[in-house]
Amino acid sequence: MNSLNEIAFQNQQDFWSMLYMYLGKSIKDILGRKGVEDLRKAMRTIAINKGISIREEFLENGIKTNLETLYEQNVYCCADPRFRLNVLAHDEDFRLFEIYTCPLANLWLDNDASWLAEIYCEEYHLGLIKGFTEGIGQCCLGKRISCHRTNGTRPDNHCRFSVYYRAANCNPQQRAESFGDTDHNPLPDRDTRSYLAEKCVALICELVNVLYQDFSDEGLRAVSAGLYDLAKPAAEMMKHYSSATLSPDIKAFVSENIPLDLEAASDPAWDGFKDSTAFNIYIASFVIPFERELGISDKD
Amino acid sequence: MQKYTYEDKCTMYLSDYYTMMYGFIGKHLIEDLGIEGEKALRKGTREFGYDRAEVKREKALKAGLKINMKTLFANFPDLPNDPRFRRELQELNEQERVSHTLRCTMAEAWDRYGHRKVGRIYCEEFHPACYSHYCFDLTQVNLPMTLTQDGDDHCDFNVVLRPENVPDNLKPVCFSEYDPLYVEPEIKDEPISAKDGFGSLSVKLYYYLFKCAVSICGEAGEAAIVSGLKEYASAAIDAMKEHAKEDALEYNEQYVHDNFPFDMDTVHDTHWTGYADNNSRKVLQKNLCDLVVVSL
Repeated sequence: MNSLNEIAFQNQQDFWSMLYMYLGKSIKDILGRKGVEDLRKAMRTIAINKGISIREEFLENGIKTNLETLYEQNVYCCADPRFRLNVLAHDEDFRLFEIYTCPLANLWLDNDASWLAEIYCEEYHLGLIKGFTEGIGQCCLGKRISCHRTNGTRPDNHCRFSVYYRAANCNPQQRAESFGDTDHNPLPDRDTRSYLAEKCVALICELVNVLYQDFSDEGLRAVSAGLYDLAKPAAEMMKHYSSATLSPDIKAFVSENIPLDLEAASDPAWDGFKDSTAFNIYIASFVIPFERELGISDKD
Repeated sequence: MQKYTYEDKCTMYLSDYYTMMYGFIGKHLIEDLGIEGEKALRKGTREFGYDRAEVKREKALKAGLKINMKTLFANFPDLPNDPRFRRELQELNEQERVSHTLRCTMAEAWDRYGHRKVGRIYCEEFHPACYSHYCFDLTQVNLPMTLTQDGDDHCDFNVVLRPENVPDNLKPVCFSEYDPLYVEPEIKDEPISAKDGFGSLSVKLYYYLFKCAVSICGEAGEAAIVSGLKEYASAAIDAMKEHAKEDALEYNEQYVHDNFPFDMDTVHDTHWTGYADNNSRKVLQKNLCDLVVVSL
């Protein structure tokens, strides 16, 4: 059993996994295969943008942009104690590691959504490395816990990542920025909750963007339906864990156990998007029904 | 113990000498020229991969095949099977090819001469370049474990081409499900001669390494290639003499023809057509073939 503060990390992580799953299922149901194509496209875009933003943040702070610094920041696993991994070998230009337990894979496989896991695993890690290394790095994911083979061979029981970012493939400026001789500055503290909040907002906004382009209002309907479908199970999860941890104030519990603030208008994760269609859909299709399910709606 | 025919042995030796060339040239590019040499090695390896992919893709298109994982790995091989090679194929369909290489004779050849690090570069650059380029640069090539990596006991290939990542205009080119009237043609792959296959690929691999070494490192690049070729010639001559002796064969012109990928007369070797637009052929003739001829 993990400690109370770890349960908050777990719930935040599960919230993101559920958000992705309900959006993905809704997109598939309403928009079909073409919608799934957009989901994959969105996931890659989000990941590339994240990689680029980490790179820019490092450069602004005088931090070398190599694989050692990237993984020091713990971008993959946040603080969820259910991740168990082993780094086999690492240096500035490569990192080999295995993941033995993954709460994302567990949640998606438990919900018959291995296809969604496949999209996430194939696109997110690859995109992040592409963005961070300006397209030079390679991210190889061979074995995958989320992999369900159907041809009689055994499914994988761990993930194996091998990431390469070689100085010899960089131009002189990239080489200096990534592998220069100077010591890099200390990394800023990372806040897991805000990292996941940013990831939630990025997912919703990018899906709205790409689906509206390709499907117009029907695309927005798919996002809206996915968010609405999430409200009830997310509320049930919150109620269960607040009860299991003897937390009397459900509103306070929720504020610590999902990555996004219910007071969305003042949530910094939505900064820059508060006038957007995505924000309005999020409020209407998730926040309001979620609060109602929890019995904390001011509007009731 | 497995008994090999003379033809089997020729295939094995052709493969080994082809692999050795990369090891010796790569070693000199890195040791003599540092990171710029490594850059040339990596770039040359990728360009070699693109070339092989384009040839294979052109053949597949001409035969009316779809451009996907199945045709990449099942049709138009450019090399014969090395009888020592061991593979466990887990999945092969239009979207995926998942396989484990349990024994790789290239890795073994590099290890034999202390070139594991160079071999690692080959694995890292060649496979992604070739497999991705075949499918219009849309394939995701995952090769997280290789026998050239310390600690790995097999190569893990997980190569995927997802229809969702393919633009609409290419979907029917790649996947039969997007081309409802498609009838897969029956392809009968002609057996490929080991000498021809390794001969052709040796010329190409060498050409791209030479071209990139010279374009990135100038004269120093050519000098490193020359050093690599000379050391390669010496090691190959020693190995050929030893193997001929083991097999109770005479080390002569015929033996070299059957077991060494390069023809000794590069002027008349048609594999050089299109690959001799710089000094590359002459440098190889002088620093490799002429030395082998003298050893006979």
